[in-house]
Amino acid sequence: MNRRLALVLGLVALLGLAVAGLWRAATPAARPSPDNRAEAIAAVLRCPTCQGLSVADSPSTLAAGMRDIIDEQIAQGRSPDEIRAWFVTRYGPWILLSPSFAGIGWLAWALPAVVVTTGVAGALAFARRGRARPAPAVIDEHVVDQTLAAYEAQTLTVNDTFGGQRLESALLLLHTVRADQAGGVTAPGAERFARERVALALAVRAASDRENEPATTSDAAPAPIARKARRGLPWAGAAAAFTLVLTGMVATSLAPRGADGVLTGTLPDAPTPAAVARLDGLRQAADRNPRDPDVRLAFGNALADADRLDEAAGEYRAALAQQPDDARIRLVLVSTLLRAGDVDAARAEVDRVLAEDADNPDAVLLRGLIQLRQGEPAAHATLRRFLILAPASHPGIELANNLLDQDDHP
Amino acid sequence: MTSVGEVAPARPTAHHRARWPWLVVLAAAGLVVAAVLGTGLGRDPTVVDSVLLGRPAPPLAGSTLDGDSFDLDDYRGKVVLVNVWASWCAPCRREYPLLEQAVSGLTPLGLQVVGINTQDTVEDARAFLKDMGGENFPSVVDPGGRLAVEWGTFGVPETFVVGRDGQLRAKYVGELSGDWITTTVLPLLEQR
Repeated sequence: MNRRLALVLGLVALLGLAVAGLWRAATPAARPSPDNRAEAIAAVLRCPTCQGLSVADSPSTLAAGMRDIIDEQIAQGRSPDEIRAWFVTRYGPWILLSPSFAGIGWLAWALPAVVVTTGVAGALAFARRGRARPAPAVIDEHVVDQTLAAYEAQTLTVNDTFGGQRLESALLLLHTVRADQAGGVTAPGAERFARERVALALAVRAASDRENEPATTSDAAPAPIARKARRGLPWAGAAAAFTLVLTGMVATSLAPRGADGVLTGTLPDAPTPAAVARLDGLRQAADRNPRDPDVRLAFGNALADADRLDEAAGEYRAALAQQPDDARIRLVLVSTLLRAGDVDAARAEVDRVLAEDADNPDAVLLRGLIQLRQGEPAAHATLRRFLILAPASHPGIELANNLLDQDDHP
Repeated sequence: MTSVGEVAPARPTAHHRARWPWLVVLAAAGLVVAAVLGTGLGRDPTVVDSVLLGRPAPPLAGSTLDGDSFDLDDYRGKVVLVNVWASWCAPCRREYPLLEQAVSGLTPLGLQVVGINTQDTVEDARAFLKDMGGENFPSVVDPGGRLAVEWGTFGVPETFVVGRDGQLRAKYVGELSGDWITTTVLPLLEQR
């Protein structure tokens, strides 16, 4: 019993560790450094050349190229999900080492749990099959007394079988206990125990005698098997409960990821699906038309809306590379840089606009804001100049007024 | 009386009776698994269902082995055969004459052949072309394999066909065969 208990405990401990490991892998990690992020992404991509290895592990040149691409895209600020999706659009879902949960992929995750559970249940059933013994809880006292009487009168016939030997031993025990009692020596429960042994031996003998009759072996089976099934039921129930708990834990950990998500790795802050789709569409357009300033401007605007200011600034700069004289784009760049906190770069760009056109009201307003940010006293003069230059319907007038009022009336 | 030292007889055969349904189940499961895995045996490994088929071809722009620049967008309206190769690749050596023939025979019909020289050095690539008797088509340099990854390449040689509308039409994995060029590339050239 102790060894079996130890085995079961060891199995439970092992399964518990496996579950803990799976749960830990599925919960999002804290914000990692870029190197860790690159490695984390590379670890879940399959190398196209050495197809059993991950991109992080593979020595092939193609994997090195993929690692470079991953580093580049992380520097551009793309999220792990986007980078993985980029590879999936080129190679198909096959490129991911972890199958996604959608479609047939769930099978890869469910199958090990099912196999383990079935295997454990089967092994336990197999281990128990030799132990079926009829165990009567209620014994027929009358039959026991009769048998004992026949034994003591030496009129009992006992077959030369295993069952017969047991019966003989049990009857001898009962006889001895009763003799002791008659002689004044009693052990509490001894007679009860002895009577149960006799009853047990009678039942076993009946079963084994039936089996040893050559003609009618077919009716020996049903009772032992029924009992076997009943005794295995708690184990099956435990295994089923365990599987349910495991499934529940994994499902709750995976719920935030959506049907198409990959199972491990950090979750990004989720923008709406429509915004993401639009962003993807614009990105593809920008990739296909890198020299079209309008496309890059549109993409930059979408990125700025999504608060990805550094990327947006990059796109605006690319558009400006095509059209260096476009003040409108440059001013959008300035306001984006200002939002991102890069005041020096914003100042350089706005000064460039003002060098071309000193009376551009938007540029003057932005310059005033920059000066205010940098704490220069000339900011007020600049803002007042903006108020003079701006047409009546300019949306920045109220802002300028508020800023001036604040400083005039602290 | 029976003697004490007798060993109990082995447990009876009635228990074996319950096992055969499990064996049938196991055999059936084995057959199912074999059937599922066996569907792969009938497939042709050179015909790969690229995810990019039927969509706009990935970008292909960069400098070539002889120092010029190449951009796939400039060739809209032509059928472009993109061949991914490397100097260390033996099948690329064997298929080069076929590419030469394609260039000489099919260029009048509107074919443009371009190579992606991937994971290779310029010196080795130039030596390779010299061995083959000269450069018949431009090859974009791709030392780090980045272009190869953009095109979803698994290895070398692989050949892609971009239609006149800029969409990726076909992919062939492995050493080219004349049959494939006849059955796949020629019809695209005949469409205007």
